[in-house]
Amino acid sequence: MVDRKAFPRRTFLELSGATVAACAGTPAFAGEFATAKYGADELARKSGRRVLQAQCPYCGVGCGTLIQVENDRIVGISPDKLHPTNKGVQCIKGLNAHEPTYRDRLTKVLVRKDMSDPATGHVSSTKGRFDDDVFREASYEEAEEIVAERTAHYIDEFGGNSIGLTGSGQLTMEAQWIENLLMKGVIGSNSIEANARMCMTSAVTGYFHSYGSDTPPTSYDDVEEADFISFWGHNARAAHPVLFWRVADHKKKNRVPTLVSDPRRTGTVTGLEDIDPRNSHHFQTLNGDISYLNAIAHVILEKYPKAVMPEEWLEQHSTGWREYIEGIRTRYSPEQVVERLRYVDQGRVTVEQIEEIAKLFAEASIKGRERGRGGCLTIWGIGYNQMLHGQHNTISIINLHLLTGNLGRPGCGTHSQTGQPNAMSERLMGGLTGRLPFNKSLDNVEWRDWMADRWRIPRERLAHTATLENPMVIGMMERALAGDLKAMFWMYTTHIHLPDVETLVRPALTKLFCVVQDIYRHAPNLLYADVVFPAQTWGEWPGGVYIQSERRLYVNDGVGRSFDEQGNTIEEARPDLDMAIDKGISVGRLLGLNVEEIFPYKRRTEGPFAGSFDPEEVFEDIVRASRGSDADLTGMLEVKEKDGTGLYEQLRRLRGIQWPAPTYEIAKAGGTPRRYMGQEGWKEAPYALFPKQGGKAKFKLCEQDYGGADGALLKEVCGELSQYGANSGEGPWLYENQELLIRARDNALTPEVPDLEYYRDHDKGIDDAKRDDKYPFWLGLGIVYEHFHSAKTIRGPSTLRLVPEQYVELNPEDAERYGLEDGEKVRIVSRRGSYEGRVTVGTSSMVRPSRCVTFPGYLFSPWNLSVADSADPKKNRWLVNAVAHRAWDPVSGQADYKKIAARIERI
Amino acid sequence: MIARGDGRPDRRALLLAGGRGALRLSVAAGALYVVGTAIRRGALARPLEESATGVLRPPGALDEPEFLAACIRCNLCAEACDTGCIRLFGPAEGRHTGTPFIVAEERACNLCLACTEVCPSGSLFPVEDASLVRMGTALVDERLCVSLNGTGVCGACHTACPLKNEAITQGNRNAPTVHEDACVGCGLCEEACIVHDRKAIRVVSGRSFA
Amino acid sequence: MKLPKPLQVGRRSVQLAVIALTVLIPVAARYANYLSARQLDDAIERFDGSVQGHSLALVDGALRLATGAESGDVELRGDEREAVILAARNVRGSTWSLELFGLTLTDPLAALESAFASRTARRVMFVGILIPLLGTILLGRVFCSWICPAGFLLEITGFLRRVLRFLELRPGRVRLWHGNNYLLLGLGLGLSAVVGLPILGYVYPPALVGREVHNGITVMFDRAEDGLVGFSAAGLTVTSWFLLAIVLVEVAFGSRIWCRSLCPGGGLFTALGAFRLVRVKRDDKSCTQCGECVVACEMGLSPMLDRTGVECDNCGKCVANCSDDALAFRMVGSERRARKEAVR
Repeated sequence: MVDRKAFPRRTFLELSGATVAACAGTPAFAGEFATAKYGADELARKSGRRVLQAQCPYCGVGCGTLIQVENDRIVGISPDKLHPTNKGVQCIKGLNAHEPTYRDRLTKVLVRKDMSDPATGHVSSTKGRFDDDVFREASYEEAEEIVAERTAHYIDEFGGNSIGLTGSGQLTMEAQWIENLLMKGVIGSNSIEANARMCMTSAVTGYFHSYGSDTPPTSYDDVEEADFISFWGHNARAAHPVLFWRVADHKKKNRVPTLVSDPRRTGTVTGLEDIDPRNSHHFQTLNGDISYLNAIAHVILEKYPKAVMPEEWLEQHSTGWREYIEGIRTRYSPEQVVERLRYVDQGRVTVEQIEEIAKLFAEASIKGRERGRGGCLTIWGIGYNQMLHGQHNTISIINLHLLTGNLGRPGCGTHSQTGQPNAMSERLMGGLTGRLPFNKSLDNVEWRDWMADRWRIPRERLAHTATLENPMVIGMMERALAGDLKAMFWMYTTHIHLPDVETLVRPALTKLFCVVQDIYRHAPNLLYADVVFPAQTWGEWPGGVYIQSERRLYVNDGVGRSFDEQGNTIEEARPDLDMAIDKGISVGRLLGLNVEEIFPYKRRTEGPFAGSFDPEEVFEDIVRASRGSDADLTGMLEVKEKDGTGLYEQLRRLRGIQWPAPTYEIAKAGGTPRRYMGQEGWKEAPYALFPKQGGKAKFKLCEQDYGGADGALLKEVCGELSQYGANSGEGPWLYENQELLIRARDNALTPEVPDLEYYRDHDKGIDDAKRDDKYPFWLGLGIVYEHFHSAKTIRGPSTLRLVPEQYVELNPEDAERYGLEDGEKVRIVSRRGSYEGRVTVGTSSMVRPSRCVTFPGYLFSPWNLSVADSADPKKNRWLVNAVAHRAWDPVSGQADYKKIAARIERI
Repeated sequence: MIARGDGRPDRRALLLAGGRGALRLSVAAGALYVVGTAIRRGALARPLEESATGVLRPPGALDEPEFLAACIRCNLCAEACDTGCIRLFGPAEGRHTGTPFIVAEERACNLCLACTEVCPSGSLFPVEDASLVRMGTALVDERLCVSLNGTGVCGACHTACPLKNEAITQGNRNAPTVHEDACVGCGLCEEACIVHDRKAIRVVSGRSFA
Repeated sequence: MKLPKPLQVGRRSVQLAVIALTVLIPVAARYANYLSARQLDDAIERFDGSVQGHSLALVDGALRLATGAESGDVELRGDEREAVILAARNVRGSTWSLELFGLTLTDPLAALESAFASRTARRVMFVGILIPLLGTILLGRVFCSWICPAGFLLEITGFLRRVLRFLELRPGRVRLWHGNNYLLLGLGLGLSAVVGLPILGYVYPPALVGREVHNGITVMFDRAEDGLVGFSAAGLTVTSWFLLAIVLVEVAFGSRIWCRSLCPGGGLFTALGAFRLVRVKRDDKSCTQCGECVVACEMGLSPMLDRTGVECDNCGKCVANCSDDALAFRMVGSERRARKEAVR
C-alpha cells in the first residue's frame, strides 16, 4: 500500500495531476461510472473486466445492472444501457451496490451453545446476544443434522404448522419456489410468510379482489404515454428514483399534470414543482386517501359525465358498479369528505383542490380514450400499502380507474410499485400463507393437485396443509409468543422489519428455535439465531431470477464465490437455494418422504459453480408448472425447444421477459407488456380478460368515517387497540380479535391516534407530555433516498457517509413552539418503545438529508438506519420499529407504520 | 571598550569603529537580503506552486503569502480538528512544512471552525459564520458527474453540502449546480462524490502560491 | 530564604511532564479525532462492536491497562473514552504554543517572528504571549530551565560530560560570547522578514520537537489505519540528528553552548529576563568560596563571584548544591530593603 499520508506531497501531486487531467483532457476509461454508455460486451472489452448481467439488488424498479468482476470479486457496478427499464441510468444505491458485498461477512456455520427448545420449554439464556462466546463453530453437515432432527421432532410432536418460515423479496425466484415447497409440501406447514408481507400485500389482495388476479397491468413504458400521473403514498424520488425521473422527464417534455398524495412535502413534491409548479399538485393528507379518491369520483360523476364509462360497458365488464356510484353520489361529495376528515387532516386538502384534481383526471381520461393511448396512470407505493385498510386503498384506486376506463390502454392504469427487487416473485411463487404459485389459492383444489404433482409430493399432503391456519406474519409472531409455533426459518430477511419489535417479535424469537441464513456477521437476526448458516449474496449466486414491478423476469448472474473483507474465500457460504434444498432433503428423509423424487436436482461437480445446484433446472420446473395459469411462461420452453436458447439465455438476451409469455411468439417478443385489454378491442391478445368473476372486474365502495368532528369512533377503536403490545411477552392476542381489526379497516381508521387535543393546547410543552403520559404527535416511519432497507447500504461507506445518523423530521412550527433546535438529540417514545435521533428541521437543516418537510404535529424517521449504530440491543438506540404498532389489515396482513402516536423527550 | 590612556573615550576611534560597524552592518544586511531572496526564490520554492489549484487551507486562512508568513506551524489547528481533516505538510515541503492543509477528497472540513478559534497566530482568522468562509469553490466536471453525463441519479454532493439549496442546487436527475457566491469550499461535496477514482466535483482553492 | 532540593524535584517533574505531554497530547488528539470522525463514516466499526483501526485499538488497549478493564470487554465503557476526549479538548498544542483550558500560551518568539515575517502585528498574538512575557520578566528565562525539551536534553549531557571526566577524557570548555544569541536572533528575525517566512521555528527546539512528534504520531496512526505498522521517521529523524549534533558538540566542546550562545529563543528570553526580579543571591557572610556552585552551573557562570550574568536561567542548581546555604533566590527589591534595614 502506498504510504500516502506520510508524504502529503504524494497525495497532493496526485491530486493536482488528476485535477489537471480532469480539466484538460477527455477522460479515458474512468473506471466506475463513465461506463454506462456501454453494453455488457463493450464494457467488458473496454474495462478488461468480466461483466455479468443482473437486476439491481435494491428496489422494485429493477434496473438492468452490469456487474464488473475482477479475480472473481465484484469491483464495480454499471447501469445497462440496453435494459428497457433504466436505459443506462441507475441511482446512487445501485451504483454503489458492490461496496457492502465483502464487509462484515459471516464466514462460519455457527450453533448457539445454549439453544432454546420449545419442546422442553427451555429458553436460551443467551438470546439477544451475538458475541463470539455464545456460539460455537460447526460443520455444515452437523448443523444441518441438528436442524433436521429438531424440525422433524417438532413436526411429529406438534404438527407441521408449528414450524414457521419468513422468506424474502430478495431471494431468487428459485429459492422462493423451493422454500414454499419445503414448507407446504415437505414440512406440511401453512405458516410461511415473507418480508413481502409488509411491503406489497395490500396491492396483492386489492388486485385479487378487483381484478381476480395479482397482476399489475402496467409497464414502465406507460409513463411516457400518460396524460396525468399521480403518486399515492409514494416518495418516488427517494424510493424509486429511476421511475421518478422517467416521470419527471415526461412531465418536462409533455407538460403533463401530476399529483402527489403524501403527508410530507417530499422531494417528489418539490422535484415535480421545480419542473412546473402550475400543474403539480400535492394532497397533504394523513390517512384520507380513500375518501379523496371517492370524492374525485364524485366530482367526475357530477361534473364530467363524459369521463365516466358508459353504463353498458360497466355492466359488461364489471360488477358492483351501481352500488358504488350510488354510495359515491350520496356520501362522498368533496364538502362532506373534507368535513368528515377534519379531525385528522385539519382541512389541509381543500374542496377546490379535489375539484381541480377531478378535472385533470377527467380531462386526461377523455383524452386518453379518444386517442386510444394515454390517460391516467396512478402509481402507489408502500406509504399507501402500509395501512390498516391497505387493501381498500388499492380497491379505491382501481374503482376510479374502472369508472373512467383508465385501464387496458398503453399509458394508463394502476401501477403498484414494489419495494423489493423480487417481491413480485414472492407473490407469484405463493410464498405466503394460503397461497400457491401463480396467483392461486391453496383452497383451489384443482390447482393444488396440479401443484402437488409438479412438486412431486403426495396430493393429500398439500390438502392437509390447506386446512391449517396462520394469521399472517404478525399473527404468526403472536402464535409464537403464545407457544403455538415452535421453530422458525429466516431466509435472507430480518426480524426488525416487523412492527412492535421489543414487546412482540423479540420475546417470541427468544422462545423459538430459530434457523437463520444470513450474509452478515452482525445482522440482527443472529441475536436470536440458534443455528446460523452463512449465505451467498447477490452477485455471488450461480444464477437466479428476479421479477420487478412491471412483471419483468430477469436473470442475476454471479461469480459463485464469496469473500470476506481480507479477501479470503468463505468456503461455507452457499446460495439460499442450495440450503433450502438441503433442508428439504434432510427433513423430508426423516419424515419418510421420497426425497430423491421431490428434489431430483444434482450438485454440479465441475465448472465455476461446482458444488452447487443449478438454479436453471429449478427454473425450468417453475416454467413447466406455470402452464395454464395466468402467469403462463411456457412459451419460453417452446423457444428453448425450437431455437435451442436456454431459459436464462433468453432472459439475458431480451433483457427480461414480462409474464405471462404463454406462446413462442410472445416469449420471443419479451412477454406481455400490458394486461386486461379485452375491453379495448384487444380481445385477441392472450390473457386479455379479467381472469375470474366471469371475466369481470369488481367494484366495491370503500368507506371511511372517524365518527364525527371529535373522531369518537377513531378514539374508541384506537383505545381498544392500544392494549396490544402494552405488555411484553403476554397477551391479549390480536389474532383472536379479528373483529376489531375488521372494524378498524371498514371505517378506514388508524392503529393509533395521538392526543390531538393535548397537541393543540399551546400551554403544554415537551416535558408536560412526559409527565402527563401523553402522546401528542403523529409519527411515520419510512425510507430515505440513500438507503435501501437496513442491511446493505448502511454497510457501504459512500451511502452511509451521506446519511449516517438516525434523525427525526420535525415541522419548523413545532420546533419553534417546543424550543427544539436543529441537530438536537431527542428520544421518540411510543406506548411500546423508544428510539433516539437528531432533530432535523426544514430543508436547510445541518442534519442530513433534510429534504422533506412534515406538517405540524407529524414526525418522520427512516427505518433504514435502525441498526446502523449497532445491531446489539444493549447499544442500539436507533431501532425505530420498537415504537410501531402491531395492528394489521385483516386481509392483506400489512401493518401501519405511518400513524403511530408518539411524544418527544429531551435527552 | 575603545579608550584612550586617560580613560576617556577616544571619539575618533569610536567614530571609525562606528563607521566600520555601519559598514559591517550594511554588508551584513545586504548579505542577508541576498541570502534571503535566494532562499525564497530557490530552495523554499517547492513544486507546490505549480499545482496550486488543489491545496485547501483550513477555514479563515489569510491569503497565501501572508498565511505562510504568519503561520507559526504549531499543530493546534490540526489537534482541534474533530473530523481530522486538517493535516500538516511534512518536512520535505519547503516553506509549506508544518502548515495545515486539507485533502477534501479523503476527508473534508465540516465547518465547525474550531481551528479558527484556537489559532494563536491569527493566520486562521476567526470567521463569524460558516457561510462566510471562503476556502475555495466547488467545480463540477460534467463528463464525470453521473447525474450530468446521463448515467445515473445521484445527488450525493447536494446531500452533503452544508449550504444546500444555496451553494448547490439540484436539477434534473439531481444534477448539481454550484453557486460560486455562496460556496464556501468546505469540500464535503468532493468527499461525498460517488465517482471514486476521479471525483466529479472538486474544490479549487484558487489560492495564488506564487 | 533558601529553596533547596524540593525545587529541583519540582523542576525535574515539570520537565518530565512536558516530555510526556509532548507525546500524549498528539495521541489523545488523534484518538479524539478518530472517535468523533470515524464514528460517523466507518460503517464496519458499528457492526463488529469494536473499534475500527489498529491505532484506536492501541490506545484502547492502553486505556484498558490503565483503567483495569477486563480484556474480555469488546468495547471500553464510554467514560474512559470520554475522559480522553475531554482531555484532548482542554489540553492541546506543544511547547511552541499551548492551549490550556481555553487559555492560550504562545512562545513570544513565535509571535515575534510571525510579526516580522508577515510584517504585521496581530492582536491575537499578544494575548497568547502575555503570560509567558510577564513570567519571563519576573522570573527570567525559566522557560529554558523548566519547560524547554532541549534544555532538559542538554542538562542530561552534563552527565555525559561527567562520565568523560571520570574517564579522564577532558571535555572541552569552549565558551562562545553569549551575545551571539542576540545576533542570531536578530539575523533570524531579519531573515524572516526578508523571506516572508518564520524561519526560526525550523531550528528552535521547542517548536521543532512539538511539531515533529505530532507529525510522527499522526502518521503512525494513519498508517496503522491502513493496516501498516510504522513510524514516520522523516521529520523526527531530521530533528533527532539536529539535537544529536548539538549534544555531541556540547559533550565534546563545552556545556550549554547552544542555550547560551546559539539558541534564538534563548537570546529572546535572555533579553527579556535581563532585568528579572528573582535572582540568585549570595550571602557573603556564610559563603566559604568552596566553588561547588561554579561546578554545578552548566551555563559556566560563577555565583561564587556574584557573576550570575544575564544568561542565568534560574535553574537553581547552584542553590541546591551550595554547601554553606549561602545562595538563595531573592526578589531584587527584598535585598535592597534588607540593606536599607541594615543601614537603619
